[in-house]
This record gives sequence, structure tokens and C-alpha cells, in this order.
Amino acid sequence: MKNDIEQFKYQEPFRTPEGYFDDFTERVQKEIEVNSTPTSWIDRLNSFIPLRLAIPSLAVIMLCVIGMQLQDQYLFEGEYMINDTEIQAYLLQETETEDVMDWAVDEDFISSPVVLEEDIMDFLIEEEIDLETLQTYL
Amino acid sequence: MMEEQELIRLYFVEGRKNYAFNMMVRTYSERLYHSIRKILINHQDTDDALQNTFVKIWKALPTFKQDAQLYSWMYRIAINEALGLLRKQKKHKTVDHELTVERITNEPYFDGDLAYAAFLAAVSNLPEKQQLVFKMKYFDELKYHEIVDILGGSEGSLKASYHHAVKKIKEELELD
Repeated sequence: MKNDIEQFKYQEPFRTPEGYFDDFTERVQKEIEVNSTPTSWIDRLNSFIPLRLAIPSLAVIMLCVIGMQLQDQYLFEGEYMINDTEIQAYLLQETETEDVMDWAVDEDFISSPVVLEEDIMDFLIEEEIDLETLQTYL
Repeated sequence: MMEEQELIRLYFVEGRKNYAFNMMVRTYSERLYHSIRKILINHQDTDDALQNTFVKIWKALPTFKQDAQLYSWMYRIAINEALGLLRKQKKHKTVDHELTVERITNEPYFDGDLAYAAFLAAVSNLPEKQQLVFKMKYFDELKYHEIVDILGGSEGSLKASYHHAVKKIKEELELD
């Protein structure tokens, strides 16, 4: 035996079944016919696996979104929705600070209005109340 | 046997498409069969790959450039088809030399001796690129620039792959 891989070069050890090539052309023609038979749009859709998965997923997502919107509608329908900006605008336009403070005290949101020492001094100067007059109040 | 250019010219003649294609199948099927068979080993796999090859050829023929080499183009389609099947089979196939020899000798349409089966097993267990380069160069006697057209890469890297393949086969078979 020749001690080299060249010894195998021109051997053909594989054979085909008897008559394999006799009808091979016809088999290829049949295969081409099968491959070129028009398929329905459902078949074509089914063959596209990612689309088959995407369509149900998309339907579920859309149902969730529609469901959430309907839920929001029923929850808030008939209720008066009001936000912080609207409350602030109402208070500025329609009420005096004193009213708000009185309301806050009445509702126990704050214990009492905070009066600073300098506010007392300003009040006394503005009203021209001296110490003697003040003592008459006490 | 009709020449390549004559077959192509005939294919593009109105009404002769089927006849020309059938002539192509008759002319090249046996040659392509043996190229695919040396890659896939098994007859049934080779038959599937060969039929798929001709279906693809039929579909692609209308866009075939008439000045191109017909057989090289068909061969490229056949090798890619075989390669696709080989990759699918890869996870199920063993790389154990003795088991591969046994698988080859058990093939119903294998007439080679044990030495040839051992040689083919050594080739089949090479990494994919080395295996393909070796088979194209050794069995189908393709030039490196033709292999580049099919597998890509550079001639230098293909030469290196071929020499690595030869070295590994000789080591496996304990040849000089």
C-alpha cells in the first residue's frame, strides 16, 4: 500500500442505487412543480413562524390597552377631576389669605396662625400704640 | 454532451426553457452527486441535497449571467446546500474516528475498503472549513481562486487550511 494520502485521490467508493439517475430528471421536475404550486395566503402566513407568534401577542397587547382605557373611563366618569394647579388658581382668585387661614385652623390643618415678634412690633408702630395704651389692654 | 454555453443559450430561447433545464440535470447531476456525497457520505442526504440544488438552480436560472461559468455556479449552489445539511447534522454526528469509520463502512452504497473508510473518516472529522477546502481541492481539483469564490477568505488562508488538513489526516492515519 502506498504510504500517502494520494492513493485515495481517484477512487470512487460511493455508488448509487440501481437506476438512480434514470428517473432523476423526472423527480426534479415533480419537486419543482410542488415548490411552484401557489399556496393560499393562510399557508404562506403559517409558514412565517415569527408572524404566527406576533399576531396573537399583538392582539393580547391591544386587548390589554383597550381594557385599561375602558377601566379608566368607568372609574372617573361622573367624578370631578381637579388638580393642584386648579386648586391654587381658585384660592388666589376667590379667597383672601385670612379666609384660608381661618378655614385651615377650623379644619385643624394647622393649630393657629403663626405670629412673629416683628409682626407685633410693626402692628404697634402702625397703629401708633404706645406702652401706656398697651398696658390698658392688659 | 452539450457545451455549457450552448445549454445557457438554449435556456434563454423562447419555449426551450424546460428542455434546456432537463439537459442540464442530465449533464451535471452525476458529477454534482459525487461532490455532495463526499461531504454528506449518506446517500439519502445526498439525494435530498441534490434535488434541492436543482430546484434552486431552476428558480435562479432566469437571473443567471450568460457570460458566467454554468457548472461553477451550479457547483457553488450544491456545496452550499450540502453545507446547510452538514451543519444540521453536526450535533448528531460523532467525531470519534473509529465510530465514523464504522458509520462509513455501514453505508449501504459504499464499496470502498477499510483504508478508504479510515481516510474519509479522518477527512470528515476535520473542522468544517478545513474539511471543505480539502474536499474541494483534493476530490474536485478546484483551484484556490475558485474555492475563494465559494467559501470566501483569501487564497493564503485557504492554502493554510489545506495544509493543516493534510497534516491532521496523516497524523490520524499515521502516514508519512
